[in-house]
Amino acid sequence: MKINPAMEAFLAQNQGTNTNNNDVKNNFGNILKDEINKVNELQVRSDEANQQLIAGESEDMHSVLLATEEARLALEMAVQIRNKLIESYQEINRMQL
Amino acid sequence: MSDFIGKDNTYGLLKNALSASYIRQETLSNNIANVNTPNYKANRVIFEEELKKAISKSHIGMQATHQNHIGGNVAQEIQAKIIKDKSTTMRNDGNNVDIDLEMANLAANQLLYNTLIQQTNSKISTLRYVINEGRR
Amino acid sequence: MKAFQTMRISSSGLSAERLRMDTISSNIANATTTRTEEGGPYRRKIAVFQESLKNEMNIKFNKMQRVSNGVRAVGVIEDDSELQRVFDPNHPDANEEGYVLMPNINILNEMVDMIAATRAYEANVTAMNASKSMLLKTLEIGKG
Repeated sequence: MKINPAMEAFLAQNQGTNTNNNDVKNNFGNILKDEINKVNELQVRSDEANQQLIAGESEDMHSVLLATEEARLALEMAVQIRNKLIESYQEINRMQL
Repeated sequence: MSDFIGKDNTYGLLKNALSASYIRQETLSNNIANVNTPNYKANRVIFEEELKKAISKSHIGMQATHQNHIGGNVAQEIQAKIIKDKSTTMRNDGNNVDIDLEMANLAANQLLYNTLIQQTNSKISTLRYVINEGRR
Repeated sequence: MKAFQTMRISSSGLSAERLRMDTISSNIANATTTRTEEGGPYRRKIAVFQESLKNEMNIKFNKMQRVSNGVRAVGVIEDDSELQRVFDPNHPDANEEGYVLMPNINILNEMVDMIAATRAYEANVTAMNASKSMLLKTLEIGKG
């Protein structure tokens, strides 16, 4: 990941402020929301493809099946990431301070 | 990140090739159905040649500013095209369908399609394996 | 459904060739028929085919275009070529000079056409099987 010098300077500037933590949380939250939306979009696309198939309007069969598979893979990935996040959270909770 | 499979160059190429093979199947079926139609000229599907041209063009002296700009994504944009085979015929009815050629192409295309499906399936299985075996 | 278009195209070929076979069989069976309902001897029948086209929306260029959709039989017409004149005074349909007008059917031509129609029919069957095998293989996506 390339961080150019200007960006580095900007980050160093914000290091000292107290809002640093909140910024990080918001960015992560936004990223998460984005990804969940994308997963949902793939599911919607797969549902649309299925509807077209049933209505008899799909151009070919393989695109419907592949759309379903892609949606499934994205969902599985999201679920696994969620599991990992929960695991790490629990791990942190168990830490003796 | 969740459209990781969409960003996979080979997967996109496989999908494209599948569509091309499917269109070719339609075209071959149509040629065979019209083998005795007077003045019918056979249709052909070009895809692989266009793909080769696109890939070789992208290798010739082009500057890439980003690693994704050349090669993979260019190849993914090639679509299959249907063109008319305008070659002359020796038949009296003006039909230029060579039934033996069409049958050979039919067999080859069927094998190609089946192979592409298998490869796509393999890719999906591998990704699924990686996703699910990652958990301890 | 558009997904099964390949099989429909092949089946149109099968129908057309079958019609042709019927025409040829009729010609062979009536090779010496001198009386028909319209009067006069039987005339050779020919099945006429035409490429079938349909209008389809081209998503890329966003306009309607004509695409191939197999073959269709536009009709069965009668061959206008000369009838054969056979000298046979004893034939009930002979004219004053003893000539009978026989159908303009050459058995060898019909045989050749029959072979061509059979071969085309078989080719269409192979095409249909190929399409079916491809679609069945497609169903394996996602399994294991």
